[in-house]
Amino acid sequence: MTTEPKQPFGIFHDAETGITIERELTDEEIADLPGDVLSEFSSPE
Amino acid sequence: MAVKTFTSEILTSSDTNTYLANAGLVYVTSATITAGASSVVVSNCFNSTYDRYKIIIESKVNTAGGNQGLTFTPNVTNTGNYTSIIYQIATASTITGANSANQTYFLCGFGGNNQMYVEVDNYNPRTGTGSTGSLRWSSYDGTNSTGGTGAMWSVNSGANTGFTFASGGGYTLGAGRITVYGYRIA
Repeated sequence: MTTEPKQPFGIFHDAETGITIERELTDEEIADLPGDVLSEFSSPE
Repeated sequence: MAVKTFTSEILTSSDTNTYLANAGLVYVTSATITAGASSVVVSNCFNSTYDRYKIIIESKVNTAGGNQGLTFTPNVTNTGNYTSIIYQIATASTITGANSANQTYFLCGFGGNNQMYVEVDNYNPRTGTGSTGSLRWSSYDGTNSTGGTGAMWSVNSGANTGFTFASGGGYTLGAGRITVYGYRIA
């Protein structure tokens, strides 16, 4: 039996209300996550 | 304001208002980072009460090995920001440096399953365009230590009312905590 991988989740804290929720990220939010960050930072020659 | 040494058993409302309520850094909010999360968004923490903020992040990458980047974005929507950063990786025998500019986010620590501490000073985030900030981080993964410092500036047409902390490369965050303070305006 196989299960679908769980969608990545995020933590959303609203300082005004003090409410924190954890929920699965939308496809748009997932696309907005940083990629392989270190490859974007080049070492000096 | 001079520091007062209290010598009596009576704490007056005047002293309370002057010496306790007028602290320099004032707690605004905090959020617990649950292990396994990909990102944390703290919204509505920048308001009209303060112009300058300090953000403390204690977290790590939730993976057992390899260098994975953690990022700090000075707003919620990941747009309209530019950052430049210089960092170094120190092993037992070598130090490697690197730099980058014009990223939309800070690289603010990396390493697998390490301990990490980040300090961000954010100046006038609600002004959008023209707001600036600086960041410093240190981390250690049991073998290598890393440190970095950087600067950000914003060209947002709207106000920055919050920020985003995330793990890169598809990795998730380890357990941690984010705390936001405001610099009291005298």
